[in-house]
Amino acid sequence: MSDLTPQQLKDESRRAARAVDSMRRAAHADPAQLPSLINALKRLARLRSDQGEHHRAASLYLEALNHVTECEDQLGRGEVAALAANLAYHYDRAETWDPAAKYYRRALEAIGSADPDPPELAAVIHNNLAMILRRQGSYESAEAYYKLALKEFIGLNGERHHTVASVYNNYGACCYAARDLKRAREFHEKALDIRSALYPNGHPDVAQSCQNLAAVFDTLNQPDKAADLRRQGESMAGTGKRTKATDATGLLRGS
Amino acid sequence: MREILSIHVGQCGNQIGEQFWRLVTREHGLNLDGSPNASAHTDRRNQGVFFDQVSPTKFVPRAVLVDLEPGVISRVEGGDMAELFDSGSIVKKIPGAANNWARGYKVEGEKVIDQIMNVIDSAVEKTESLQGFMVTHSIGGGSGSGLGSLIIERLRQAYPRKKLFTFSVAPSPLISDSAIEPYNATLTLQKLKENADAVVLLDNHALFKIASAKLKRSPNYMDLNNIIALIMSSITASLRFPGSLNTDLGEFLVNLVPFPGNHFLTASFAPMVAATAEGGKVNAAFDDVVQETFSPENFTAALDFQQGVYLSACGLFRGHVSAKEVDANMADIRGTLNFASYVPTGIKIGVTETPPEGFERSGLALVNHTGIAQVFDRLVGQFDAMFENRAYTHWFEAAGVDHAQLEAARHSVADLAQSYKDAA
Repeated sequence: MSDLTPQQLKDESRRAARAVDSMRRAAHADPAQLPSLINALKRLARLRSDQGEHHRAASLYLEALNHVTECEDQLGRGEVAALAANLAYHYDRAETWDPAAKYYRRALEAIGSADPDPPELAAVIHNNLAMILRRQGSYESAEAYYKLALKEFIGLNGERHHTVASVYNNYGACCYAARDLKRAREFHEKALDIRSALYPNGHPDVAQSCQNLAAVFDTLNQPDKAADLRRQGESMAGTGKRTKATDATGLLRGS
Repeated sequence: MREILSIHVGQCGNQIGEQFWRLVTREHGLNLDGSPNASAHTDRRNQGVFFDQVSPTKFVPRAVLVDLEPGVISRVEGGDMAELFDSGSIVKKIPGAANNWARGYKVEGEKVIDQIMNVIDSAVEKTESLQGFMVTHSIGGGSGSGLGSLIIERLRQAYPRKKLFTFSVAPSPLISDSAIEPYNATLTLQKLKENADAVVLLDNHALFKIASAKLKRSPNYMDLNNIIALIMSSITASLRFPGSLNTDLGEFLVNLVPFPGNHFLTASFAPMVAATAEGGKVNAAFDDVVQETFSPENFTAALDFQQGVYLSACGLFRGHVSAKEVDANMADIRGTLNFASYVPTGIKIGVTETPPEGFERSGLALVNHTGIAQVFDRLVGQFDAMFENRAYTHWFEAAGVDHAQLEAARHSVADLAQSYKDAA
């Protein structure tokens, strides 16, 4: 989400719209300018999405994706993957799961043929697809994607990374929803362990893990443990902002 | 400002657009590059309805040009209007729709519709208070019919409160460009019925007959498109120029559409005479203009006015016309039109002081007549003859339009015809 005020967002959108107009003219005269148009469209789409104009944002992403396919030779399939993932993430945020899943899969297809070593984006998409499947109640299918995401993030970032903790947290929430409390506890404890080590002075992510684990203990009929964790979580309220990622992990969805 | 955004789709739609903008630039005292013509004495107060002023010396049409094959648009871009349009509002693609509604609506349309809607959104953002859209297209081909249908459908979703007026060229009963025209036209009419506020049906054969009779020579497509351009210009004249009886698109619609869905109109422009030499003006007597305006032979759709009744009618006069003349002539006309028994026989009148370029005065009739059912019946008959043998349906199936969708469109148009007959 954007840190801009509504007025700033409006002004930025206006500027971005003018940039799109200008790049459209340039690309109309010279197709070699298409990549610049694509960038302008992506920027405007992100701003529209932040403004809550989901339909228009989707339309801008879709146009950009169509242009990318037109000049794939120039941009490479990695750009197709990134754009499809951005579009999917947009639908995901707007809670329209079917198109979100469709474009996550399209991004995976593009990645699949681009690189034998899957990039971080693949791990992000596997996590996000798992989240969608979980929301749709397909816990078993979701689990398969969480496992993939975990394997890929650990391979890329090591065992003690915030992305790994995020997937454990999401995986734990999935198990909790499926009433597999044993594994829900296991994964939330792993997430809490990593996050506590990463943020010894408190952090919203640690607070989130405390709350999620507390919910598990409540269901296991262990109210004292649950209350301790809740207190711990509440004490961290306002201890900082979540890290704003600018790379592929910026698209990582969480519970 | 109550702006209107014009959207020209497909070969036919863009040919009409070319003529239309040629006409309105002159009407607004502009050169073909969008700069003001220093020698023109034009009231520019409402120029913003059709033009966006981007600098003190440059006006750009509020227009989006779309085609699935680049031919017509490229010709416009390479001709004397090369500097007029905003190149950022032009969407032209290579593959074409192969005369097939399904390719325009689905296969090719789906690839390009988001770009088109983004361009339209951007054009709408440049308006203060958009009144609505005018779409020009043909309903028998591929791009204008299929992609045109998709655009109209998406416009209705994105702008549910804006007026959506289309100028839709229908297949002629005598001249056919393609065997699958009845399917294309039927599928398009269904979308126009569901999404447009008003559709002015234009039939090339009727236009050809009018032009041949009045111009006293064999007309070409430019002549026919010029008639359409004059009609489009006259419908919007009172929004753009001062007048004693100004009427906007909304008022027309209230008068012209008595039942939801029965919004298919036919139009007539007068005086229909050959263009005069440069600088000259056609100066027909107002009495003659009024008679010709409401003469059944002068209407742009091939229908028999003896079959059925008028549901509504509008008369729009331009130029040096007195209110007294209008009242006297329209009293005579009212007596000759056979209105449905349950509708008032009032004819909505608009008068605008500025005449069309090249005329001292002119008249435009827009009517909603139940005889339009003949056009739909004829189309359904042609559709049935092919569909009963499943002729040509494989082209549609291959592009994602199955038999059920074709049948649904056929029933929708048959219902439309029936609703007009019931209204009589």
